[in-house]
Amino acid sequence: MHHLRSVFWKEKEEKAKFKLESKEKLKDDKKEKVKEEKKEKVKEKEKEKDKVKEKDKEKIKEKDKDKKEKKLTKIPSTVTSGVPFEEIFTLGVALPIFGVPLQQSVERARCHDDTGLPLVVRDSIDYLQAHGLKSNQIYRSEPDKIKLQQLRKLYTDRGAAFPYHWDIPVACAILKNFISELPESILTQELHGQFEQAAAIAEPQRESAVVALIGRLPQHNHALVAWLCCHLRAVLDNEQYNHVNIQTIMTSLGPALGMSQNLLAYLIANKDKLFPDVKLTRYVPPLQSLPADWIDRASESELSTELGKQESLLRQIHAEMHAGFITAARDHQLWEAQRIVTQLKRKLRSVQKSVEPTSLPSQHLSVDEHQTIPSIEETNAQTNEQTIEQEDITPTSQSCDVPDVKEPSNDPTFPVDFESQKPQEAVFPVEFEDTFAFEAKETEPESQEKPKLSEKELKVLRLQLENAEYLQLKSLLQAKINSEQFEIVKLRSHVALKNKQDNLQNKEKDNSSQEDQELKQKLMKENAMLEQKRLNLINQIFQERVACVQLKIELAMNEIMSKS
Amino acid sequence: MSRKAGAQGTLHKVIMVGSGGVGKSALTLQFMYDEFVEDYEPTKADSYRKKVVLDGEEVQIDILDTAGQEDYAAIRDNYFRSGEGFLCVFSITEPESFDATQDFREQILRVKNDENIPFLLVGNKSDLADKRRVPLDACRERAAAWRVPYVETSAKTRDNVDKVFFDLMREIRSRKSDDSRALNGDVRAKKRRRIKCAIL
Repeated sequence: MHHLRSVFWKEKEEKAKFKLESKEKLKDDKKEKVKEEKKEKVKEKEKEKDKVKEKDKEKIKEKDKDKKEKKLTKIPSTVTSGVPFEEIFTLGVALPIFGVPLQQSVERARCHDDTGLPLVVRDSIDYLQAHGLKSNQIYRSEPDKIKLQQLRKLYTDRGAAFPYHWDIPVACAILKNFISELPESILTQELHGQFEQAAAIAEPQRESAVVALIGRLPQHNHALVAWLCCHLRAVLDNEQYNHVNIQTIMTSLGPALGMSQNLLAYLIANKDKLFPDVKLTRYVPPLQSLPADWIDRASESELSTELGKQESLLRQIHAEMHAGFITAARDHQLWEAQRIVTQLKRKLRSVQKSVEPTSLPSQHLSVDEHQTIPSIEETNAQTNEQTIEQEDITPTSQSCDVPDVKEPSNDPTFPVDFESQKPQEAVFPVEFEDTFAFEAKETEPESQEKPKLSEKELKVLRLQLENAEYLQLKSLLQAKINSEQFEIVKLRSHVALKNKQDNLQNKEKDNSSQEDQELKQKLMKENAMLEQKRLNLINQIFQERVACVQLKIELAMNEIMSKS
Repeated sequence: MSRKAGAQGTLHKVIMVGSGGVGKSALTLQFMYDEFVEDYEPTKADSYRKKVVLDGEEVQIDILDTAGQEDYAAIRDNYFRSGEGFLCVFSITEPESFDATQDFREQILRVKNDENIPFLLVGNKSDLADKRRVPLDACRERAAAWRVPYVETSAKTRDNVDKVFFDLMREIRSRKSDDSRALNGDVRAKKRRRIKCAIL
């Protein structure tokens, strides 16, 4: 059937060609264009048919193709999170984060906790720590250039990166790029030479010399060096899995760091002594809105940590506005962050106040001999008691706590399921496995207590999980829509260009014979059919997704049940 | 979040301005939580949201409480820009704060570039009548010159607190409906014109 059809098309093509040739020999080059166009059309048709064929035949090949298609669909998705395109474009150009001094880069796009790392560095280290330590790709494989460019642009434009933007080689490469594009060594111009010298000294003096130098590093450089060394140490500790040794790292990062192997190896090997306070923790960005119950059940330290993050975010927004980047979206963000800050401050104040009155009577009891110091101790004890009390009271309202939902992607059954579903997703292959990791991240941080779950609470929990899943799906789809819109604009401009060129040719077509008309009609029919198929597939994908969400929730629920 | 806001009706953005210590935060907190805080702590910036019923319609009000101190003037500009209405507060016991309202008014007009921006002149601390140092006539005169309403409030006794916020919200609301009417009017006019063209 398919063969017949393609033969038929070829015949048509030949005839059409012949027609054109036999017509007046006007402008040769233009004719050729027509030919080429027709050929292309027919070829495309054939390709599509091939696809259908293949689907019927083997599923293994399908996977490969899906991967290719995935890449293709990823390319245009540079626009995300509904920020106006022009706005993020200019912000990225005016205030770049790559290739500027570290201090500036941190000011422009930082982690809003107290690490003082550029966001892109933190995110790539986080990603590698979570997914890369045991992979043999880490610091070895070349990244997909397009994917790297895309991620880089995303960070430059302060867009939100989604899990499907990341993979191990890309994370390594973006980290490397960031470091190599810094205008000076991460050990600073001033101290780099001294570091090299210190590392060459014999042992008893070496450590103290290096420690002294590290003490002189500016705050941001200190953070970057420390995190990098801790991360590389973790990579080397997994040598038996990833087969990365210090030479591998030197080959990959050496040029960017500009350090001797001796120095780098020393820093990595002694990171515990040199950077005793640094621990690699996953970055939790500032909350975008305060859930009603979060503020009630958060401890004082959680509140003040969040307040710090929000204030840092607020400073960044103000800085961006002062640089002239004022949009409705940023205005909105500003008010939102400001409101969260106010809420947190109020809550903190009330928590602190509620401690004072209870501490007063206790002070009266112990007025005589022990004066202030014990009362402070008591106050602390009481704070603890209070927080414990709070925790005791809250579990009923706390059912939303999602206790430790482990990454479902660890579960071998899931990826397999998705693989088998993929053949149906010719239209938009969104990466399911990646989505998993992402959701797991979101739910992980909120897990401390193990509430006893009643029926009702289970229901609530399920609904909340469902809600989270759908929100996730929504943001993913939104990102897709954005990228599609971007693509539409691009294609439109192409079409406009083509139209100009084709004007003359169209005149020729008007004279075309019945056979051409037939061909046209056939093509139109074919298109309509394909369109129908496409719609069916979209429908199918949608249903599969809903099923996926249900399965995910089921899995998470099981996890919770087995925990509690 | 934004979806929720849509479902809960319109959002009016109000900004409190005025010198330090005139009672902007006190008015805001009294309106928000019915509380009066005696001890003074300078504000840098604070933002609140409340659901209220305005003439039978449920709306949300966002209140941004700004710093009176000049140190934070740079931050203030960013907020002024997105404000839809302003409560310009001074203390009737402090002539300097009354004088300062002139500067605030100018600053707002400069940022918003709009003479008719919803705006109320608010004389606070009306409970301290015995310490009054800004004559009522002067206040009324200035308000008339600006063509804005003048209201005296007391954050301590809650006198007129709701009134200033609700009056301002009404101004914002009527302003918004004027704007949208103007927009629709334009569209209609354009359409009419277009139709004519087609006929011709």
